[in-house]
Amino acid sequence: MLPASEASPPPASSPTLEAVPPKEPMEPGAPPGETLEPGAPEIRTTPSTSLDPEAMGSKIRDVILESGLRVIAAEDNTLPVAAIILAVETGSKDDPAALPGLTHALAYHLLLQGNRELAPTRSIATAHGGGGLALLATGVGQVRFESVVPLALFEDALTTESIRLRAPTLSSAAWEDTLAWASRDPPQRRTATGAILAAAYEDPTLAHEGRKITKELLQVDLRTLGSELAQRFRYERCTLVIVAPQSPDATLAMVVERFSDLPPRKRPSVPFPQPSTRGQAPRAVRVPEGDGRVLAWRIPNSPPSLAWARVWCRALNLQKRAAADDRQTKVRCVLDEDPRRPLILIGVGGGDPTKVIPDRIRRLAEGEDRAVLEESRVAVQRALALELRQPLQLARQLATTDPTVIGDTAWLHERTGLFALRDRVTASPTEVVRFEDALAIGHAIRLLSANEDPKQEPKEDLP
Amino acid sequence: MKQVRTPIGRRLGSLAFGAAALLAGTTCKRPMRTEVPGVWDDFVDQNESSAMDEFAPRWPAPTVTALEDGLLTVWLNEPETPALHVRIAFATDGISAEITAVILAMLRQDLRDRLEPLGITVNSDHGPGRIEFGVHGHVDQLRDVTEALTAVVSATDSGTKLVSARDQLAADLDMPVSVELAIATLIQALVPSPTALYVRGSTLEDLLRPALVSGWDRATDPRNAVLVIHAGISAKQGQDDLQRLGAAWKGRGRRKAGPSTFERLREPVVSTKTKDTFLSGLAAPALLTSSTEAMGGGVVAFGRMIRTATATERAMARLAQRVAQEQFDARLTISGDQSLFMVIVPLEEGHADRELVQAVAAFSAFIQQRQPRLRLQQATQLWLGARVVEASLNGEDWTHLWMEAFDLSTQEANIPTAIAQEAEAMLAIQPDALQEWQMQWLDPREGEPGWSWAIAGASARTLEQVSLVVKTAPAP
Repeated sequence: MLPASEASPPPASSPTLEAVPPKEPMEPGAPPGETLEPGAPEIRTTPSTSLDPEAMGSKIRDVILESGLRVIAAEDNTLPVAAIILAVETGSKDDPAALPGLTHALAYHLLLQGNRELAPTRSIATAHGGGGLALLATGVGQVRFESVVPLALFEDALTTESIRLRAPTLSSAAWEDTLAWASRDPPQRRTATGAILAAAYEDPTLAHEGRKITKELLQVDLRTLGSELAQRFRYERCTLVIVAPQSPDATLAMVVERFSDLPPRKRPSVPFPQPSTRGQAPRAVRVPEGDGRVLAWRIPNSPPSLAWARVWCRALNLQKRAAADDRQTKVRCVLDEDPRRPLILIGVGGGDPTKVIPDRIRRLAEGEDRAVLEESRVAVQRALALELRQPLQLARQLATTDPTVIGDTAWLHERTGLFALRDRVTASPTEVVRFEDALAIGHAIRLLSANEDPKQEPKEDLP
Repeated sequence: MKQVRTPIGRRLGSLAFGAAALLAGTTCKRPMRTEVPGVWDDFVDQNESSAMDEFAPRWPAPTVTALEDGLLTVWLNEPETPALHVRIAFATDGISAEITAVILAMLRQDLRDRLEPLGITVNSDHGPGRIEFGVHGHVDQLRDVTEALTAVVSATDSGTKLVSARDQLAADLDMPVSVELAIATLIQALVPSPTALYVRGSTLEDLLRPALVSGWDRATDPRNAVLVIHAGISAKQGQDDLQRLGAAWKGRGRRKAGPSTFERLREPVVSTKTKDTFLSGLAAPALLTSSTEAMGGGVVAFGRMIRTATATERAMARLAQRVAQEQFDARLTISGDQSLFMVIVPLEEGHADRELVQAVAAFSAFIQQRQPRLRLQQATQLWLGARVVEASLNGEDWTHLWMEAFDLSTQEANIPTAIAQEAEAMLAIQPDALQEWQMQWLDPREGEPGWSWAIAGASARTLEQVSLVVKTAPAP
């Protein structure tokens, strides 16, 4: 057996964020950012429509400490292994225009360079030396420091996260070293390019390559670095997720012990951009990759929506042509599951996507192909349940929980989207209808090339 | 004659060791389904163990059942898990590497064809004297899995599929890697076996359908197999599906089914031909030279069998290997009370004679050193921690760890605690004790005799050079 640490020498790689972001409908009257005294009674509990343990999963703790740090603790006893993620709500969308790639490089700096209490690379060496794994993930809206460690190293890993963001080492030599490591990362591999993402979210800050290392980054002065780190990599912008083989209460107590010396802070709200509807036709956008055959939608950043997005995408890909369809018509659906800016993209070959897609969706939702949707629901439910059995996958899922929904004691399956998939697709599929609404054609963008007429019907097959 | 090996064959060669044990004897009618009374180690004690807490899974007492057809099932219930892991292990003793490779390829493909469209994954694995298939899905899919398994192992057209798998395997063959060839040659010297340990292209092409079917019948005999299940439902809840499997899957002829995993999967190791040999001076055995063409340059593998009858001895062997592998390519395969230890040395053309002598001397000198306590602790924690972390990242499959625990056990009752016992024993090892043990078992120039060596992939010039410093002989 090759230990993981031998297979992946430090420093850790920087994979693309790939978890499905969960979210719960927000309870009325509970503003985001409310804080909880460590150990105090719950603020509120996420409303539940059922207390069936199988449907709801186990109880988890989800609290905000006085310092503004959100802590989510879940239990997994299958193996003596703990997964710990410190997720920071910042990403390449926050890069200054003159310094693309800064967030990615700053994340590397915090991974590698340590501080007064943490020697350079010690966090990685500790995890890898004990047979564990330390990883860094950067996306457009979130940075995650991830580790999976044997139980023997659980406390050490937790301590590392409690000091990672405090007064990081700042020196020119350390920054050069950081950039040398960060430059080894390949460009981010995403289903949707930056241009598509920026067009879909109407946000130009999403367009640039977030892992680029430019000469401007080399010239950043230490004062700017210190300022950027202090402003964006703060515990009140973080969610600490822990999946460990002990009760969530016991885990929470360990966290409180390590973070209690942080000063009180208000947790900033991180709003999710809602889609804008512009009538009954998709908004035409011109992007380098556009050819008129693909429509893209923002997906609401919630566990039910993302779980159902998987179901719908799978069903659309499995759905057969109707008798009335053109024989050349093909539909292909893919998801870009960035935890903070997810997209669903549906391409149509041999037909007008603005006509074919609504027709396919109607057939899935309203009867003749509902069996395909139900089959997909079962398959996605199983796949998600198995995926979330692994502590690292579960921690990733919990780390992308909607930042605005917090409940002291919550149910695991509500936080992960499994609960939303519990019911068969029947005559009154509320969740199905909800997601069908999300795929309303007026919410979509249509990806066109620079010279394309939006009214022209594309004829080519999908590649 | 050109000899080639596939990746499957290479892995078999590197891990399988032991002699053929003839399957014989009469049989008696077994009851429909028998709960085998398990005598497991005390689970209360396990839960109090810190090594169990930190480096081993907390297994419940397994439910062991002998089905109507003789198949032994071990059921590990983890309440509320949505997962289903099923692992079927077939003994391969007495079956040639070529036939084993064909059976492995055919079974894997057939199972994948049936199960992967349902979202169930299938992988193949191996251990000393056995091949394994791991099937991973949702707990609701137990029936799908048992039905697929039933269809595969009781198929009436297995001969056709085996011939197809043989042809596909032959088409995929590439030149063997010299490291693997050297290892296979070494194992053959240490543990003489009537069957080859790597796949030869020519003999693969010569395999006729009757030989394949005969090997298939033997390998897939349920009386010689073990099924391990890790599921969120209990053995009682899954018994209907297992009974259907047991009713449909029959072995040929009348023979007795082994009552435990050990009788079925643990190969007895026969005495070696190398009991008086060191790798120096007059006691040195001839360096076995493989004439098979191989890629990767000249490589020597030297090694020995080690007695590992107790958890402490197994822990010593593992820790010594883990420390040694920081400087040498040292490998260890544990199979209960017998383990195979070996060191791989690549040789550069032009300096082969000097490199070979220096490698043995350097390893001998290293083995005589006393290692600092901190270094032993680090090596121990890395080994033990990586095992559970790797298991977690690979899907939290207890059945894989159960078979690993089987390899670390010398009797059935030890399996549930074997990983924790290894962890406890490794954590307790003192530098002086390890040094003493190493000098006895791992010094190729002094200590206990029993060493052998083999070279493969070497050019004529390299062979000429090494023959100046050691005796050489063609591998059998």
